[in-house]
Amino acid sequence: MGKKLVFCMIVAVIVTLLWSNCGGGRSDTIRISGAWALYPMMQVWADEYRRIKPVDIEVGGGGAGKGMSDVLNGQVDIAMCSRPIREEEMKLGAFYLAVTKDAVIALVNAENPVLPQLMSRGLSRETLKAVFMKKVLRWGEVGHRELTGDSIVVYGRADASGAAQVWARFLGDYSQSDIQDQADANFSGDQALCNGIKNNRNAIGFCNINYAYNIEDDGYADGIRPVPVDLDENGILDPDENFYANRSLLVQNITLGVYPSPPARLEYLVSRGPFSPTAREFVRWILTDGQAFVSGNGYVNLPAVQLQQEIEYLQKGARHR
Amino acid sequence: MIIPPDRLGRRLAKDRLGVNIMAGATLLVFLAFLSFVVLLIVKSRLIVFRYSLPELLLSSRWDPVNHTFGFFPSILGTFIVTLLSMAIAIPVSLLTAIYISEYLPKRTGKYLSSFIDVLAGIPSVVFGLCMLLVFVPLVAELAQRWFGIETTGMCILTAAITLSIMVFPIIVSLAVESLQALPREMRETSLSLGSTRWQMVKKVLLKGAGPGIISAILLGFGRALGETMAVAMVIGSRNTLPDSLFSAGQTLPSLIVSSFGEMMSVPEDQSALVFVALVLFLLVTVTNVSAKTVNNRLRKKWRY
Amino acid sequence: MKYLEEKVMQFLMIGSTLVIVGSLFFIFIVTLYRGGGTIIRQPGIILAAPGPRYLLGGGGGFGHAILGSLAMAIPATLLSSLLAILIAVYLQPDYSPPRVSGMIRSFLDILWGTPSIVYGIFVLTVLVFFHQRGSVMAGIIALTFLELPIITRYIDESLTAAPRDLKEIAYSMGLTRLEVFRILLKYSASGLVAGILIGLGRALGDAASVIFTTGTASTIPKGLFSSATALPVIIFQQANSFYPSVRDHAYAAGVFLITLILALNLFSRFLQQKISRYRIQESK
Repeated sequence: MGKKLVFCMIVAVIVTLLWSNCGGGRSDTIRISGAWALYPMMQVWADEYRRIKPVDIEVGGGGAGKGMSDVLNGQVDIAMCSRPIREEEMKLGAFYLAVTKDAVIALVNAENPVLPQLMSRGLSRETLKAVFMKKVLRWGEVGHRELTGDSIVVYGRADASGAAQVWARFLGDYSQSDIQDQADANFSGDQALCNGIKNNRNAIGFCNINYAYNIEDDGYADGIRPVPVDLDENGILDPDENFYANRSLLVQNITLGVYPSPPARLEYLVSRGPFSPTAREFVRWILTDGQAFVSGNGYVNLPAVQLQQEIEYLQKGARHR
Repeated sequence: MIIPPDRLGRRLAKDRLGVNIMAGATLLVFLAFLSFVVLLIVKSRLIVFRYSLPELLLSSRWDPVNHTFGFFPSILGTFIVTLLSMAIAIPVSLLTAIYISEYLPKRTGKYLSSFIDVLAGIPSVVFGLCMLLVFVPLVAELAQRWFGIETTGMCILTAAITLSIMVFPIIVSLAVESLQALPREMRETSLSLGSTRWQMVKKVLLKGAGPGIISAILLGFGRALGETMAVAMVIGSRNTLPDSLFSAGQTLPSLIVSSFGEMMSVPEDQSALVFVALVLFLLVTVTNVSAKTVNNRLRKKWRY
Repeated sequence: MKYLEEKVMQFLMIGSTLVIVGSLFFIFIVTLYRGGGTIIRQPGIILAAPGPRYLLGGGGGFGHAILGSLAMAIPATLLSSLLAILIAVYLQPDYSPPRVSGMIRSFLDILWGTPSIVYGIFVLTVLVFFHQRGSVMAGIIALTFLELPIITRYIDESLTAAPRDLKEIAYSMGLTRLEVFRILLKYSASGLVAGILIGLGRALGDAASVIFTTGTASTIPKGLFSSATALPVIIFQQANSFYPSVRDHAYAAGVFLITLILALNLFSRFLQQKISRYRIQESK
């Protein structure tokens, strides 16, 4: 019996070794990971690119921080990053290119006690800051009404998130941890956060616009509503501030710069040092033909001048002339 | 290696070779593990030298982007959640173990014991799923109704309840084992003197099985300390000192799982992450080693 | 008075037992209820690979995760069983002096108690140190360390329970240690099989050690060094997804995982009983 066991084990080892030689580290696989914000767009790009080139593209999520970690450690070829690259990361060789633009918006539950007020008046940046920093604690205060059972529940991000960084910058000179520490609970990933808001009437949070609207019909996603920002802080939502009805309208206004940056932000693709040849071809495509798919998917096209600039940087392998 | 000419010699040589291979395998595993631990220590050096140990372990602000690494909320959270879960698990498990060992007929007890052991095999993510689906809204609802406290349900209490369920089978099976190892005479003597069964248990058996039970508790504690996934799914990942049982918190393992993504890019962040793992490893190892030591010491002291 | 105490304590004991038994039922019922429906309606998701927009509610299944789990757990179980046999036999008094075996057992206890996430960090740190990518291989290594103490303990216990008389007779007839071991194989066999199945179940269900090392890919693993993901990992990630179909898959995966592990546990118990029937009856 012992001999049979040993024989089986040897066979198993041989099979494993054979298997390890196939597939695996083929040089025409592009591995990508990073920000959930860019994930939907990257899926589209990968799909379209695969139609014209015989490349394997693996796209993972994990958050901007994970993407940066992965690319700086050689785990992936390209990182998706939804926040500005940190100094320390650049010192480690991070080379970034802007490929599109999108935005973070605040979200509340579709049955929020003061939803009509929110939709007609919007919230100013000061009010949003007060809400997320727990200076204002009840929806009644926000909506100027007498309510009960309306404690504001703030949700944040638990994972290393570009959206959280950007939103924190928008509210003031804060970092993700500031929001995370004040929040009532924190979730990992855009989606989990949106799901949390959907399940709690009094919740408010933030996420990338793509998760706030329906992919199919451009309308509001199920159970959650975007919170308009009262840009001129006059207490009401002027017609030119009211562009949240559907995604296309919002995207238009982000393109025009009406929606502020932050929380609108550039989306970057990052590599450690210059991009590898296969990856470089892909990114080049993204900056040229790939741009055709951008606005149809809820992202913002970069101006042609900027795209040209990024292509130059891509060729050079560095961000300078 | 010379193959001896005679049969006995060959057999002895095979024997020696076999033993050497076994010793070699053991050594290999030991060295691999040792090198892991050494690597952790080496990688932690960066952050321990840059920020002093007290600062890391005792400060309360966690903000890696701004170079602030305060582990205290996570450490405190770990202890609160674990201790609370033990407070729930210990009485329930011990009472169950006593019931199985002393009150139920042998066969029923055996089946029940096996049944409870199944709980030990359930993966931690499945626990997390169920608690997320049922207990999180339940805690939110009940906290509102009974105490008027508003909570999302993703809080320290929920995490503690989750952990206690996961720890039940460990304590129960070890306690039952300890109780059943006691000689029958102890029970018969006590009962023949007119004590009730519970009195017998309280006065006689628990003392005899004491070392085994205490070490069962410590092992359960060690398990609870290291539990990652289920806790991460229900605790709310908030890196601040908790205000109450109903506020979200963080434990060392859930801190690792939530922030690991970010933490491997910049050397300083890497070092912080590795340091957390090291602290966790040390905590758990110390607990488990004490479990064994307590067991041995007490067993010698309370020898029957 | 003491009878009152007896009654009260009995009441509490029964209550406690019900709480524990109840929690087991709770887990089963909730998982089956939430995930069972999905699996029954769409059994294909077990085999299907994820479509390109899988995480965004697009089509596809989690076949890649099942494959990934198996691709990591099975080699890990084989490797750790091999090591476990060697180590467990070495622990027996006829092979190593008591002080050495005591130290090894203490070391195994440390391995046993180490949380799986620490194994994940161990392997991740090594990966980063050598600038390697996360792969199936890394997951296998982490899982091997996780399973090793479990399987070793099972084999060790069954070997220690082997009757001494048999060993002594065999030695007195001049057999070498290895030859004696072959005779005792039947005793260790039940422990080995039980340990392997339990270890496999543990490896299949563990997310913390794998989530760092292998990664979270959405593709079917093609080789030993490709990226992959595992069932418990996708459960963790998808449980809170915004898209109902993605959440449903998480619960369906939960049902699948629980069923698989339960089956392994039951099979292990069944085999243990069957093999122990072949044990030579000890004379009393």
